[in-house]
Amino acid sequence: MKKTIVLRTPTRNYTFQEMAEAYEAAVIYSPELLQTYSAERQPSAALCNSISRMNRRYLQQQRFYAVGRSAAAVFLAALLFFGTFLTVNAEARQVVLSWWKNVWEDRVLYLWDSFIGSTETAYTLTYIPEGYELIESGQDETSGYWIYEGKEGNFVFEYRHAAELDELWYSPLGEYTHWQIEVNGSPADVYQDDYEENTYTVVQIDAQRGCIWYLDAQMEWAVLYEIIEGVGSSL
Amino acid sequence: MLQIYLALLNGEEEKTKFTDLYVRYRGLMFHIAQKFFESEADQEQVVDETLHAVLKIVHGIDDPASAKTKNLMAVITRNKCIDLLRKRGGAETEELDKHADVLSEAPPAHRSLADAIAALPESSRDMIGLRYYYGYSTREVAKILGISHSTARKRLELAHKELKELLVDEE
Repeated sequence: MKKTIVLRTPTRNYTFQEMAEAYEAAVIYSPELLQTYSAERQPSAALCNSISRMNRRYLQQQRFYAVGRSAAAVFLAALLFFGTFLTVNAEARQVVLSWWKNVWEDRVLYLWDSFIGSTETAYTLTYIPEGYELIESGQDETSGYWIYEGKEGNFVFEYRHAAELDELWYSPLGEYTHWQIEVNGSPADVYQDDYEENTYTVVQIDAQRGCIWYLDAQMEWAVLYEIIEGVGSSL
Repeated sequence: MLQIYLALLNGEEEKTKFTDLYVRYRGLMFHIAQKFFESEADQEQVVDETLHAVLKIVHGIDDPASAKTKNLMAVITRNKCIDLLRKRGGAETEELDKHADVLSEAPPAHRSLADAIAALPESSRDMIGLRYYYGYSTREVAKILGISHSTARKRLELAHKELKELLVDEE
């Protein structure tokens, strides 16, 4: 991982390790860090009291959440029965499991607002254009993401399925041009940045599985389209 | 005041480490907050939010006395200040510009990768540091700074772009 190339320039590529060493040289041992922030100050009694108040509120909030968690456990137990019903009934599942696209104030939000458990769908990219290298990725039970870097810039692919309250934010309206396309037989939203050339976000909701995936990229549309046509799922 | 934070931690080792961080860097945190905010209430808020962010990562801090940790405390505090300015809106850009050089000097004439990193705007330099020097994933960075994963990725992408421009200029 440390030898992975994370930054490319026309004349040189830099690895993860080189970036870390350069940052250390630039910042950690700089006179600014050693000297500028050497001032010591004791917080005043008034400040202490004020922060104490804020922290008491925080603790109360934590207690509130603890009570909330107990209530949620009961709620989830009740949902288990309902979830089982959904698992065996495809029609019911389609009605209940879905992400919602909302226009809220000046933003587009994709919201998941149910506690219903997720499926085990995992998405992958089956086509990566030449010249792109994976620089970061992560995957857990409910989501996965991959960041690739190439000469034109990074592209990010991420999927989530809805195991918890979740929210995905997109495009401030008026800064993106929006249209819809069809990907693998289902509609997907495309947001093209009005100011940055060849900058797109593509979002697709899989209502049946309660999943959403999106791809952020700066590249030619034709290349991007090949990538999104190659989005595959494990189910 | 410290007791209240400690009540949020479980292990003795973490409590000892957090106490050390608190005693060692409270001056640093207030010092940075003072550069951004005149009001004591705002400074308090920044320090409080910084300490809550530190609660989440205290287990991963090896040596509270190291320069590495000192810088991490500065990075988190500074980003909490910037977030608070952003939340306030309005004079955001002016304020951010005004404080853009809290930790940086003018870029040197000859530029290596380290020099280019030193010449980056603070928010971009912090992203490079958190990702590559401290080794946090973009998800962890998002949690520490209290921003969305998407925003963290965008900021890192922007930092890459700026770094490339600086390096290409010199090459």
